[in-house]
Amino acid sequence: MQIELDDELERYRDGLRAHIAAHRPPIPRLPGTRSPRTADMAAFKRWCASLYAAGYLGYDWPQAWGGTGRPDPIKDFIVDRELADADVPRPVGAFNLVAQALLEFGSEEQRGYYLPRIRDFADMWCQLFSEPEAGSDLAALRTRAQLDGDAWVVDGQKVWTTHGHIADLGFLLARTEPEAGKHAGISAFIVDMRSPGLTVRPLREVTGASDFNEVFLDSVRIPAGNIIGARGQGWQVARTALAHERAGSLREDSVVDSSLRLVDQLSSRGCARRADPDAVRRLGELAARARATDLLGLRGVIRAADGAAGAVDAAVTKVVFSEINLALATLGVELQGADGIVAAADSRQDDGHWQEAFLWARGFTISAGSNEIMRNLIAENGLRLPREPRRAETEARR
Amino acid sequence: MTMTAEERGDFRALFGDFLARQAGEDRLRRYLETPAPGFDQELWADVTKLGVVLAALPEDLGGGGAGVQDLAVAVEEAGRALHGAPLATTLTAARVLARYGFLDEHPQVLAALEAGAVATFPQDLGPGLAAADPADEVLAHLVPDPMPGAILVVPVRQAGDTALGIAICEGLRARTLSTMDLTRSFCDVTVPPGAWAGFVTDPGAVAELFHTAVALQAAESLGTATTAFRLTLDYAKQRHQFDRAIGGFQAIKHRLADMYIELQCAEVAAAAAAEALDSGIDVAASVHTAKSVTGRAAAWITSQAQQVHGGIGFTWEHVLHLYLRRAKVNELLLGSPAAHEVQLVAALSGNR
Repeated sequence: MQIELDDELERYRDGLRAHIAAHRPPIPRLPGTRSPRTADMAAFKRWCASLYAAGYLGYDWPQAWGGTGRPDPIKDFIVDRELADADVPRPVGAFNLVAQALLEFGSEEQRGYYLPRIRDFADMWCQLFSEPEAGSDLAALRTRAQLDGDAWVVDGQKVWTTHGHIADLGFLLARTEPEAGKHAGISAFIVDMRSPGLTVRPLREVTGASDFNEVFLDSVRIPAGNIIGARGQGWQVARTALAHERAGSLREDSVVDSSLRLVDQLSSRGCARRADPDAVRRLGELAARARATDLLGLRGVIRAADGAAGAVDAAVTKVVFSEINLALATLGVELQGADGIVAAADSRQDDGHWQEAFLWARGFTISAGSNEIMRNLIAENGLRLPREPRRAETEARR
Repeated sequence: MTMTAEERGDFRALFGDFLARQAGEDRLRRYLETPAPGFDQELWADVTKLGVVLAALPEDLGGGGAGVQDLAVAVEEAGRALHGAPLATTLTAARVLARYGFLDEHPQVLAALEAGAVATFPQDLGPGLAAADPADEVLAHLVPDPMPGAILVVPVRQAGDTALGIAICEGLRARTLSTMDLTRSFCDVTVPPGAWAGFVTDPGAVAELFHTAVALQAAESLGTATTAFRLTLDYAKQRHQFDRAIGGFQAIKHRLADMYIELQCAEVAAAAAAEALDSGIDVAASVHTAKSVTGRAAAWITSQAQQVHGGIGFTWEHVLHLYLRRAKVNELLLGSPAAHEVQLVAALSGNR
């Protein structure tokens, strides 16, 4: 399976390569952390803005807002792959999520102010959705927003806020209509992360690094005009934005590359399991699976480009990718034998690459819809199996 | 000429409909009454009349010049229907013998293929196979359907190199084996030194026979797993316990999601192997990948199908075990997934 590039797409790719060569930001790759450092933030924002300006991000926006109005999954694929191959920083944050929400639901005033700023990457954005008691069941969120004169007053707590510690603005979901149904009572907002009463506390991940945070909102005042869409429309706003997010998610790791790295490692002299038939066999199984994972991704891009994307293509790819990614990292650690415990600076083998990858890999099976939620989605939307019982049904059953 | 995507779709519909009409559940039930009956020769005659074997021959020999991707479509449909005739071996052997010039030099073998003969070869084939010297008696192990007139292709060793020996199954000693597969029959065939019709001495031929056979086997296993999955999905929607369709319970639902996920992986891996053979790019790694992924997926899916069906899936009368048996047998023949996984690592390190 191959993606054929026509002349126009080849020019697009070559243009991107030239752009990367000319604009590569002077930001060192930081092992073990994904958020840009504060010291690198200005260079990072300039780099992301250059991708918008040159038409490698946001090219699919309506013409009125600086795009062509023509989404193209193959272009997304090219950008995704070229950035990964060139090993340059990936644009991170909730910028695309909020842009999709504003394009669909924003007021003229909001679009006029925020969309150009997003293209300039003037702000770092974070997503304030999940809460301690609302993870997979996001619509159970409890953070309250009450209208008080010309401002919404927000109280509650958010969690797993990636890049929250370096964000300027947040895309917030809060409950505005406590009497309405679970989904109907939610509204979407833009909140200034420097507002009085808003506290960001970094969370340390299993890797020891801090990319995500807890966010506490204590009588935080948000101007009334910062609501996106109508009162009670927040669930729809979030779903629309997330649909775009899943379709255009940027790949971080290639599992085929990881499997080839292990092939090299297994044949290197220092490998504790060198020539161990069981290790060779297992690596072969994982390498085959990694190749199938890449093929699934390619097929997804081709189907999307043909307007024939399957309802659960993305969910299938997400589950397969995240699980093979974890399995490869697990084997990577194991191939080092007892030295598999030696991390980072003390590692003689690979600067602790696999130790860090192993701990980090679990994140992908949990985030962006846990794999259990993905399996529900595949079964319900793809296979048309009965839906999970909703609260009312569960109560009726008791 | 290889087919366009549209032609391939038509070919699939044509052959799939034919098999659905001719090789439905009633025919499958016969296997339950008479295990290992040999294949249905009447049905095979109809298959050959459809031109499926001719499609595999090159255009200059009067064939359709179909690519492996085209042949894979027919074999996948046959796998869905648990068709018992040796279609995959016939298509594989016809293609490889034509490509290495054997059919040009042996018009009687070409004529036999055109007239509907099956072609077959030992299913313990693999790169590690110690090929026998045709100057001695050669034992071909696990040969599907070496009926009288069948074209038998056997890897042999000639002057230190591997080659393919070709013999016509007339008066050869054959012993039918009892096997796990109730829908196909396998034999041990003894070929005496004087029985060879000829040889393909190009050392690439053995590898190409092996790679093509594995790619088509992957397509067949994919088809078998697809039907088992569909039967199971229907059953999970229709079977009620505790006042609910069992497919609504997460334990079942997630199992079905996983079966679907494995089926998707098998689909892309099988397609990539056929595509690699047609393009000649990345052949070995793609073939080993296909066997690892489809071999494991089909065996696992058909096994899970039984679990979801519960007691009825454990009965002789339900056809499900025929799918389990076919998937399991395909998993083990032409090199197990484990054997291919070891070879995949070798192929990947060789490329670097």
